[in-house]
Amino acid sequence: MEAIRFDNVTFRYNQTGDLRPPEEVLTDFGPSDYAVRGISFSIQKGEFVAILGHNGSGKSTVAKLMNGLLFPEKGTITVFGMSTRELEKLFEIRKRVGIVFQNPDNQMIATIVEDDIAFGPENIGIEPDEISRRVDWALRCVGMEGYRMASSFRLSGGQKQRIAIAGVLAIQPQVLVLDESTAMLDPLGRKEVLDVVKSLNKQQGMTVVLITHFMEEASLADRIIVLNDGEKVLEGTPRQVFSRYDYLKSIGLSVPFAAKVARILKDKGVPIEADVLTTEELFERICQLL
Amino acid sequence: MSIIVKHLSFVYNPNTPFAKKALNDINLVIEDGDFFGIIGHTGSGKSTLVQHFNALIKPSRGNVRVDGMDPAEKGADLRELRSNVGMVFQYPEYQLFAETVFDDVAFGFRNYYKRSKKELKRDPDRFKAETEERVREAITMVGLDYEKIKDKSPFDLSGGQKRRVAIAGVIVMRPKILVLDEPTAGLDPRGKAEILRLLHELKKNYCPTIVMISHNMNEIASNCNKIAVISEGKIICVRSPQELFSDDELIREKGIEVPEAVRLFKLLRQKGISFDRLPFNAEEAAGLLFERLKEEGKYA
Ligand SMILES: Nc1ncnc2c1ncn2[C@@H]1O[C@H](COP(=O)(O)OP(=O)(O)OP(=O)(O)O)[C@@H](O)[C@H]1O
Ligand SMILES: Nc1ncnc2c1ncn2[C@@H]1O[C@H](COP(=O)(O)OP(=O)(O)OP(=O)(O)O)[C@@H](O)[C@H]1O
Ligand SMILES: [Mg+2]
Ligand SMILES: [Mg+2]
Repeated sequence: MEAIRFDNVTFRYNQTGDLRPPEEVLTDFGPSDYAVRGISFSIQKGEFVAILGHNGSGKSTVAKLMNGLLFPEKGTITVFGMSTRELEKLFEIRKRVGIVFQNPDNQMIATIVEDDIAFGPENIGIEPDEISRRVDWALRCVGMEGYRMASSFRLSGGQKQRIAIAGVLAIQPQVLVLDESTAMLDPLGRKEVLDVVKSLNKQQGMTVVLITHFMEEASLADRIIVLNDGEKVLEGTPRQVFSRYDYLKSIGLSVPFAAKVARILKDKGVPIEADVLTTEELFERICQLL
Repeated sequence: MSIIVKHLSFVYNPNTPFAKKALNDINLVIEDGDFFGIIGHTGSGKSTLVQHFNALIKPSRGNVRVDGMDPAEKGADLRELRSNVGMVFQYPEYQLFAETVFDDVAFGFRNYYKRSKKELKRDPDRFKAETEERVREAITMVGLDYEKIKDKSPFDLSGGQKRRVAIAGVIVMRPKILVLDEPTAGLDPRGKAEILRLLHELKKNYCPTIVMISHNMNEIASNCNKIAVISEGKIICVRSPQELFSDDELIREKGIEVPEAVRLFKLLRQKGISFDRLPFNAEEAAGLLFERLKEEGKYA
């Protein structure tokens, strides 16, 4: 079953910050350059897809288009068969697609952590008992059980980010979109959150869209979509995508550590294949050489 | 210019139900010329610690001396201190606010010199010229084209460019110590590499001492000469990268993540393939492996 589909989607921001389509806004400013140009892709239910791209390549814009926070200028976006243009379907769409945004400070709503996490489920009409259970569960998922009654504004950067993730988990969306949601976490925290995400994906069949600047994280996905200047330029399995080292480098990206080491050795004439993704795989190959 | 921290403790919201001890008896010396790294889990107290370095917050106990001066003392010249210790916060681009890049970068400098009003009244042209010179210098230092970018709105820039503008707004004061809280978080791989290259250049030509908080172990190990590990408000140790990442017991005990290159070389060591030093990134790892292959007369 198809969860999300982009058909030839094009989008421009209006320089006024207005969210209406550019053709409806007549101002001195006019629309800005295209943030997204002619993008098409399809994400199946239960898939784990990563999106890579340089700063400003259009990743967050794609995320916001996915649940109707922005509307395409051209092309269509369908979420479980519903077009984001049908306004009466927006509520259903947003219930299904939960997005954790980049900056957690913009997402804190209530002053107490518990209320902050309960806000989403309340909004979609979940019963109080069930909300309480979900808040417990979401806090456990992100390792913040001890902070239920804490004040949201008195947390460190990484703690706020965990709460933001819990807030979206509590909605139990069918599609979870993480827009660089682990950028402020320490390495162990990032691993924990990714483990939670992976298990939600594998055990509960939650569809995951992971936007990240960490190549190692992207290599966990089933599939990677690469954006450059608003266009989709590559799509494939991590192994396929990360075999394009030179191209990725030319568009500001990189490859996982293991692939990079193998590639440098290969360039020096060492007979080693560069299509490795994990450090363990690289280790095996080096053992064969030494 | 050095920073000496003695018996520093800090409590948020003291004497309230929200009281929270964030720092607990911290002792630390950052010397002139250090590229000093600070690592530690989320909520361990890193940001709280560095905010003491330019007196944004004051110790509950103990003291901090910057170049011999204690900013918590009565009569301390905080303006002078803040121009000497430049602070780049987490995601500094969220604090950009002015209409043009020029005004954003000039803000700190203008503010600092407004105090000397007498001089200003006497010679506003010179003040203007000086502001322009300093802003041009700062924008050029961070690797941006002054003429091209000065009149743009900061909001029209890419993530990496915004980050550079925010750093320019700090170095416009010509600080002697630059403190950065996760300066590469959220940047794409090229942007990360560029900012790190920039920091080394700044260090060589401008501010000899750099303090960097980061969760990225590759980055910390590859760039810093000393690393402080903080855990639950306490300093666990201050070590060179080689010492820190060779200490398997400490790493296990404190749950410190190691750079991917170190992880690879530890796997190799378990197989009996050992090296006399650790690499911290892909280039170093490949270099060491290639040497070894050559020594053993294999494939080269
Ligand atoms: N509210 C806005 N108004 C005008 N232009 C915008 C707005 N938000 C983003 N843009 C522009 O749209 C383009 C795509 O931005 P987007 O935020 O989608 O990039 P991104 O890939 O998420 O980048 P990053 O990795 O830095 O988060 C960029 O050129 C950006 O400057
Ligand atoms: N304004 C505040 N009021 C009360 N407690 C706070 C405040 N800011 C931070 N804290 C608490 O102080 C401790 C240290 O926070 P700090 O921000 O220094 O951590 P950090 O090491 O910088 O973490 P991160 O890596 O997530 O940025 C945390 O437990 C945090 O919850
Ligand atoms: Mg983004
Ligand atoms: Mg911090």
